Amino acid sequence: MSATLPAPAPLVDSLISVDHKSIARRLLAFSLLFFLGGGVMALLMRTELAEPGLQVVSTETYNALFTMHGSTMIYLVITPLALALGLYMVPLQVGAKSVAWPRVALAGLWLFVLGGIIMQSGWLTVGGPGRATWIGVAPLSELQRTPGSGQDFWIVGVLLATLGEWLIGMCVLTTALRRRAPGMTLMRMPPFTWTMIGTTLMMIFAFPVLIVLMALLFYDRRHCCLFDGAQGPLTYQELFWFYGHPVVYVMFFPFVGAVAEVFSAFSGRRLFGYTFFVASTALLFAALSSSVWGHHMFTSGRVNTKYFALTSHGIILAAGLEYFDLIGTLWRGRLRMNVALLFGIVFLLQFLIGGLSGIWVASPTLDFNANNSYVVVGHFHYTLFAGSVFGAFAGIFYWFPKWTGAFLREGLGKLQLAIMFVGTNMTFAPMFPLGERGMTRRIANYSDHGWETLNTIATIGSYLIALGVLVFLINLYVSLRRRRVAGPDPWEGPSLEWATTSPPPPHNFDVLPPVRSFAPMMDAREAAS
Amino acid sequence: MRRGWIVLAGWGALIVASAAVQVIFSPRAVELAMLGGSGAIVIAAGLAALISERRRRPRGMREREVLRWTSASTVALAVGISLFVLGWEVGAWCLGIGAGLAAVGLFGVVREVRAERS
Repeated sequence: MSATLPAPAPLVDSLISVDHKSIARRLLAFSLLFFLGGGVMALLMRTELAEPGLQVVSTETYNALFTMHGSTMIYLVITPLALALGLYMVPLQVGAKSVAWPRVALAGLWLFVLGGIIMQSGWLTVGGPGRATWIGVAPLSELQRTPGSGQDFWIVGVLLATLGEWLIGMCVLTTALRRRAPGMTLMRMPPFTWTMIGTTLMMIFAFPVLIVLMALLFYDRRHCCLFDGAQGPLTYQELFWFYGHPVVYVMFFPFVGAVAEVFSAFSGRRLFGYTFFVASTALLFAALSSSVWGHHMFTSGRVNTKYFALTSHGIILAAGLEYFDLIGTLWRGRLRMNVALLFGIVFLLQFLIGGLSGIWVASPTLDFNANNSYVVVGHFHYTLFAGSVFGAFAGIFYWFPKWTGAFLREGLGKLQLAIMFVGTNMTFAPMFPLGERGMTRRIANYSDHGWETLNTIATIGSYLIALGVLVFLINLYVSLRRRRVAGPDPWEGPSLEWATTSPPPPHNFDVLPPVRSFAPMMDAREAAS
Repeated sequence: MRRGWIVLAGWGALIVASAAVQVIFSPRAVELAMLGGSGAIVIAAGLAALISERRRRPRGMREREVLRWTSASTVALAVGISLFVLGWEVGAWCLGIGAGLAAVGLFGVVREVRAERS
């Protein structure tokens, strides 16, 4: 038996509601807002680099821009976006009436938001915001090298935002492990929920390391000497990358899970190789991802090179199984070429480039050549933008009807996809030959070493990406203003979120169908036909 | 039975196994300790979840809970913590306001939780 209080007014709801769906919507909205800010910073950088000697911004401002662009996208956009999907969908997918520890999730939201605001408020300080790279690397981030309050605001912002994200992650993990509906055994959880479990398992120990590291860095700037000497900066890097590599997969796994759901729904088939998917992606992949941080430090000569090369290459096995499962799901399926499916397919193709270019940095021999060059910039943008962001859009187009009760426009979605696909490859593909020709990261200006044409192409591409994002915003506006109503199960999806109304009621479900597999809605439709 | 502890303990064991592979390659103590220790923490979390699952109250009793829609106290707590941490940078006044607000928020959250359990 349960009693419920009346729902609050929308304004109050937007601030203090503990409903997981409301918290997730706000998390999604704030991450999209930060995404626009981070995108503007990227455009300014690409404009600066379009031609040698442009000097659109000063060198100091450029340092601030690449630091804040990276920090915004990692700490304030892709990680919270992934968590927002999990916070909204996992309770629905496991048949729970609410998230575990809803107050903790609400506290996490506000810690994240305030952390983000504090980080960005560095722009208002005299010396400007943090400018010691997105990893805040010591000794560059020490007081004498990066003076001013902006760097301190950056540290406090990263600390608070990461703490908030960690709290939300633990709520999602606990919900999946402890709040499942009757019949929802571990091996009946949907693929997306399993990828969220893999994501949050990595967060258990990786995120607290960053939180402590930021506190230590703050102390170091005030009182000195924690990261001094020959070993100090290496100690900082070792601790940072212990967080910094798992977080790459925190920003990737949820979107693999979203794409798995999309492929299943739009091919009319259950996920192919479910057990392998769970074992490889959610568990083995996550364990390996936590064991590869040292490959970021190959050139330091301080890490166990052979071990980290082995684990980094081991990821190929888990990633291969994931690709095999996803393609196997589409194989001989009754494909419906909706925007969500198209984004999912492009996600697979783009991430493949990101993954294969990762071999350059996983192999010590190759990494010694690629280190600190634009090859690395191209690689991680193919994984995090060309990969994760396309996967995120697959999830957004797929679940938008569930969140709002309205469809996004398919035509505008396809236009956005086409523009972003061209723009993304124009922006990031030239970075590989640029790196090969010797262009290093984080430079505000360059003499023309044959780099100009490639940089100009990349800059044009970045403006195309911005145009694609603009099309998405227009789509969002049009779809919410002139609603095309979606029913509870518009895509004939496989998992439990499609068993309730769109949007779901505060208690999530009035009635739950029996759960006898990881695709209970498909079971129910087959039984009815 | 939820059996969530299996996921935690199993994944922790995977991490420990991955750390153990370092032994083949003349490991550095700090890397072995970081990864192995993290795995051990996750295994411990799994064991804690197992104990918690065994001590759970019967389902019928657990469902007699009130679903609250809002928690202003939680937001006060989060804002208080944020101001407190920001106070390290901007000064004691912010630290004091943050501590006070966090205390008020914490008191409110405790009251809310007690009210739901009674």
